[in-house]
Amino acid sequence: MLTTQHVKKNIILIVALIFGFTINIFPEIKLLSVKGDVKVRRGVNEQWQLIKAGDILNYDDAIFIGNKSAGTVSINGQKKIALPEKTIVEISDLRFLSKEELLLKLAMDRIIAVPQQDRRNELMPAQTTIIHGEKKSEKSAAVPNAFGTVENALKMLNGAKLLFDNKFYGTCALRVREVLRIHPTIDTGAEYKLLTANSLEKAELYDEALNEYVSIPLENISAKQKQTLQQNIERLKNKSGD
Amino acid sequence: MILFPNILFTQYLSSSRGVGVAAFTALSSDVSSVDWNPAGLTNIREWELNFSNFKSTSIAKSGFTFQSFGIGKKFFEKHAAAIRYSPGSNLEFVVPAAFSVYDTAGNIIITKFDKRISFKKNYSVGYAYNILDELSFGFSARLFDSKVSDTKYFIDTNNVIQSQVSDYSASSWAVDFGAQYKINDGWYFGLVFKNLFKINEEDFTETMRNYQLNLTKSVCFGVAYSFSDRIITSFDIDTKNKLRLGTEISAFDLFKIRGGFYTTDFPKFSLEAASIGFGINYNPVQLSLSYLRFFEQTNRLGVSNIDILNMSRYADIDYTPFTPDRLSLSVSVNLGRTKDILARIEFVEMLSEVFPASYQTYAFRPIGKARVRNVSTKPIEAKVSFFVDDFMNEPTETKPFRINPDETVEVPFLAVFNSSINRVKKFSIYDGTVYVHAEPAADYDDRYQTRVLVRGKNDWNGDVLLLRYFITPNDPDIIKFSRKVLDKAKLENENGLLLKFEHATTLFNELSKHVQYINDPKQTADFVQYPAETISLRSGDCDDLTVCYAALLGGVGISSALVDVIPPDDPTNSHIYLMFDTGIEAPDANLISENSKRFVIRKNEKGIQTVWLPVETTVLSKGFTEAWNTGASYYFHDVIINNGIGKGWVRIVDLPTSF
Repeated sequence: MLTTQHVKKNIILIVALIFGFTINIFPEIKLLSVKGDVKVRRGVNEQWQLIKAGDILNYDDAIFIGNKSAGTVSINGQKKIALPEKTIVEISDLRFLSKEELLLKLAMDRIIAVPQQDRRNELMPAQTTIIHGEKKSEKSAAVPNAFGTVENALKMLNGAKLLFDNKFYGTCALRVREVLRIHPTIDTGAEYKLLTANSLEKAELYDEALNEYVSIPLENISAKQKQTLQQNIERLKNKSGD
Repeated sequence: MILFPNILFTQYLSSSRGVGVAAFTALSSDVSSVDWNPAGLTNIREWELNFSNFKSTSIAKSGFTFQSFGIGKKFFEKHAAAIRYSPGSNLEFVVPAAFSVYDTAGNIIITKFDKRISFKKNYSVGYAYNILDELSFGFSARLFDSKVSDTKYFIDTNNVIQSQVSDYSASSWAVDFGAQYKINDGWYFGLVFKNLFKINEEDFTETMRNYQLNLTKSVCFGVAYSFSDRIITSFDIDTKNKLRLGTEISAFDLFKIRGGFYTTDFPKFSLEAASIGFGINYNPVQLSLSYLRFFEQTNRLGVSNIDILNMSRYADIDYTPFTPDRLSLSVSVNLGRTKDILARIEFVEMLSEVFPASYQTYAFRPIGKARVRNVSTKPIEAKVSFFVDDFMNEPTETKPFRINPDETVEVPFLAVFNSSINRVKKFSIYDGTVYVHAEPAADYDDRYQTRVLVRGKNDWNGDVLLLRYFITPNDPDIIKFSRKVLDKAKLENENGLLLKFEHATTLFNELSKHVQYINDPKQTADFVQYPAETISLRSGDCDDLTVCYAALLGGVGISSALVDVIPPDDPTNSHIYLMFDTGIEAPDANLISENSKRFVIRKNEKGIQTVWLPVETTVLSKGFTEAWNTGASYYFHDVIINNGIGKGWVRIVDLPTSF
């Protein structure tokens, strides 16, 4: 018997085939249990909406677990992952990345960066800047971050921890980077950079892990973490030396 | 009986250079080729005028005789023709006859009744064709006139001696066929079939047949070898058992010394004559002087025995047993192109069609390439030029390329078009000319006509890199549109950070009111409207709308980029959408959206990470938010999930930031 979720999934596959996209076949993610404030954000929508046990989560969805709440998802009906409170997880992060995929994604910042324009070999029209309206002071009227966004960022970092605990090292490293890029002032940033480095090491990208360890500001971590950090750096340096 | 040959002997050694070298079948290269080897006419460069004189040095009181004047022309690159008038190409014999009678007073009266036999070769024409660069064929036709004036006497019924002159004439065309072949390492070959066939216009009567020229068929084969660029040696051998051998040495660049031997009765090598000569080449004039000396002078001094004449059977009027020593002088003048050809264009390949929208790019990206061969004996510096009339102000020239002798180089060439090319409405074909010129030459050495395919101004080849040339933010209509829209909107937002975002939103929503999306696959493939056209026509397809929106954004100083998606599973289903830079830095991304799937963070030229928004213009009618959602969804699928950029099937093409 076809469920609504099955129909949706089939429609996505058909659309994907029509548009010729090479979509990775995602495992079926099913919400097994819900306790308290558990919501889903579908695709590129802004709004979170309630979700109930038994619902299927799509690969472009994100799941939100509020305070004193919890949830459980299953992957292909086999692996179960418990979602603790104060967590946001992007469903597309519940996947393993190969070393090559992870390297490519780590290099993505550089790949998609706006290139330096080489004007020696280009004919450009004359430079004219057209300004409409009156000039406005940019930073003066900056809108502060919307209420709750830092909280959500922390929830996403909690989600990254969850990914690490479930051995999704590649997506964990990428997610932490993404969150810290948008929220560079998060107090516990150094701790999560340490998480990124650990993930990269677990993913056997030792040079990248070493670079990440080295970039961690020592003043923001505990003495014990410092000691661990130094040990990790030495260990990876020795590996690089091999 | 004594024979008095007239002084007007000649031979087909009408070229003084040919006389000097002696063996000229493989080397003939001027108008005199109509005699030597008609295939040599293809070596005429443009126009050639040729004059020839000679003096019979072994005959007393002999002055210079104007032998011939010829004119040759090269046409259509591979064809050549020549015509020559030779008033001095005559051979005349006088057979004296006299008798004595006594008159009534007993005085002796001596009366002469000479017989005159003359042969002329006054007109020659020739044609040759370069079938390959190394091989040419040609034929020539020469008109031979023969005339005998015989005076007869008789005593009439009144016992008075009477005389009567009877004239007999004959004429015929004799056709030669020849070939020349050049091998690049310095070998030259020539082959001529002399008198291959004849066309008789007038015959002698039966009684005069003995005086008919016996233009027998013969074959002459010649070989020449260039030991260096200064020495060339040649020999000819023919079926008349004549063998000739000669050498030409370039003492200086302008001065040449020549010498040769004429033998007969091959293979006995009976030495018959020797020649020596020199030449001066001073473009456009070539002057040659040669001296031909026979070792046996009997019969060559103007007087001979009639038996010899009868034995010779009038086989030719060129090189006869009566030909005296001679000093010959030839002058050739080349008109038109007079310099030596150093380089040749063997082949031209046009690398692309011309898309007027991106005509500037052909100034930096080769439009074609020419394969150029160094046909000289020294290294050259060759430049290639390309020109299309009307669309270019002057030929676009490449930098010089060094080419060693006999080597080829493929030279890519560019084209600086002028804006007239934007007047081309539809796919058309124009003539383009490719020139090559090599140092130290001032003029071009060769040229090659090629076809230039010019697309209509709206045509596009599907390459997203070229699509950006349709984006015209400086177009007055675009500026007018965007200014009007933004003035009307009077944005109340005082937040400078969101200004670009709001401008982009306003422009999109206003565009959606003016323009309708039309899905026309036929046009999508190769036809793109300029932004002003889209606004004017109030409709467009995916590419048109993307281009139009990018131009509007560029017009208000918002950077944008095209996202080109070519799905590997179905490359024909490619798609283009757009993303633009909000100017908002990454830490402020939440001003735009809390959902990171809705934006892309890119590092700009200054190293600052800013927020870009993907926008799909095909959902124009649904407004900006829907277009943004769709674009963001596409980007998430294509790039984040399927890693299209890493795998190479998604490309981001940034549009110039300063319009």
